[in-house]
Amino acid sequence: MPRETPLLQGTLDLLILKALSLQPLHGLGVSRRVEQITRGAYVVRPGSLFPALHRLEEQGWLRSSWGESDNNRRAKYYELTKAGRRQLAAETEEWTRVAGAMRAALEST
Amino acid sequence: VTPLVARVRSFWSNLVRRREVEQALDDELAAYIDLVAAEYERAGMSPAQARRQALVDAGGIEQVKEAAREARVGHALATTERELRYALRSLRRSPTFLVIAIATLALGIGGATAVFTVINASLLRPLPAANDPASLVTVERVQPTGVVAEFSYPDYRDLRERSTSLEGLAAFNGTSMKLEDAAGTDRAWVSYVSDNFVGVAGVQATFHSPHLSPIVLTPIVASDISTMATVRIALANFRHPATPEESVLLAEHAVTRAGAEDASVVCFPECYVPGYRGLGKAVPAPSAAFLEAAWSTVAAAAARANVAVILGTERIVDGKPMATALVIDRDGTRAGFQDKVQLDPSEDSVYVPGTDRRVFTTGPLTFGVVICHEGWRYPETVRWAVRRGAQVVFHPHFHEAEPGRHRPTSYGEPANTFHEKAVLCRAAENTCYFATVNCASPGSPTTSAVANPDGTLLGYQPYGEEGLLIADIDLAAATGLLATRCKYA
Repeated sequence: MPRETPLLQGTLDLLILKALSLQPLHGLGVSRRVEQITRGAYVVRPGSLFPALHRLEEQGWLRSSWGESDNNRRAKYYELTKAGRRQLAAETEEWTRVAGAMRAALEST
Repeated sequence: VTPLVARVRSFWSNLVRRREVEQALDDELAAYIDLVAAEYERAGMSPAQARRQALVDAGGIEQVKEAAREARVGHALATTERELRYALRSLRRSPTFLVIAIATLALGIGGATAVFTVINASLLRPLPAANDPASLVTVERVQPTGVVAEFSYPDYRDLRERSTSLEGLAAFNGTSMKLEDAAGTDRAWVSYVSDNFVGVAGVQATFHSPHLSPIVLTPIVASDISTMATVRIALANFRHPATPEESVLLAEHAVTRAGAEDASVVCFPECYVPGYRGLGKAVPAPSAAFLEAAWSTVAAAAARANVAVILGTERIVDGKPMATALVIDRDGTRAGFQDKVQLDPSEDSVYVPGTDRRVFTTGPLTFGVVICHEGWRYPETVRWAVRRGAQVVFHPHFHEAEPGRHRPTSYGEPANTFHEKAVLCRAAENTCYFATVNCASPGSPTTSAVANPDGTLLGYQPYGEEGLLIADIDLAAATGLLATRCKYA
């Protein structure tokens, strides 16, 4: 199992938005998808996952509804709202800019 | 920034549907545990074991729930606090804007409240009228210029009596009045209303004033013209009586006719009863007994006709006649005399002069009396009365044709004597009505006439023609402005 990386402040929200950008997912699905797209670097525990989901919904970036899971169990699904997509685009751009700047700084001689 | 719709929706659910939100969180976490447990089962654990492992992974369901709740509420609080703080900071940084914002709000709220109060009273709450408020209509008189004008009382009475399409017709006219009690004084807008007004509209009022204790206004109802702002006056322009007896008959006749014309007051020429002692008139020697009887006859006629009378007459003082005007009220009581104070030099041997001046009131009308020479050549006498509230000054006089002089056919002709011009001046210089009365006689340089407060002519009796000159005068126009501004009186 890969080493778990402590989350950088503010990155969890971006990861959740990104995880939901392809399709609606339930809480466990979001957790798994984050794990997958970060190649196992991040494992999101329920203690931080659910507060984050609720916070994002509160901000109007996510919308939730009850549905059936793959194995016919009831689960609450989250999907991106229009505002959520805009937020994802904005945060992605910001992150890319910051990461690029950090990389340039660290690689400078 | 959170979209407004989502904010409102979550605000609503967090506040109002709290229990549902809580339940939804429980359900969501239970479903999550189920999903994780199912995965462990598929990996080979027993259901009980799988479930226990799922709960351990979750790290304590209650803590998760608590954190989720805090995320919701914390977000809402943080957002609200941030926005409040930002708003306060902005306001503190621009006090001008703050003042303008507060003033705008105050004006807006105040204005809306005031408008609503008016609309509520006038439109939303129907008049407590008869049975059907929708059947109430307003009758207005519109002049060709588009100005809405008042009705004279007689016009109103005609409409009321002859209208077939209206169930009733009530009249009102407003004025500002001073109310006074032990606590102080205040002004109130008061309406004069016709006698059927309460019956038609069923109105009753309490007057609230910051200066007075509440006053319940009992409607005082006008039973006739005397309380309306338009007052009808009559000038008795009849022939000079041939005998004292005829003077009484003619006076009685004129009073009766004035009553039939709905006049409030009728005024006679100078010394009409028993007749003018001058200009070669042969009037029998003064008689106190005759005068007393004559006054009683005229007073009785006044009471019958419900008309106040200004009777040019004489009274006996120390055996000598004094030219005077007897004022009789509408109920026939004697209000008093206005003696002629300023005699014409030619009268010094005929009459004794009076000493005092006074004003009289009947209904809403206050008036003064100046006799002949006084009105022509002593404008102070007119000003004196107007400064004491007179809206009309009556001017009994006596004037006949003199041989070879101009015989007028219309009012104010340049070739005529100054007298008619003086009538206009007395009105204009005091802002009052001036009503002059003469006997009807052929070729007389003056006739009976009424001048408006602006110095224009309201009307005059055709020269030498016997009759009653009727005039409706508007009390509101007789402000007495120029008289009260006089610095020499």
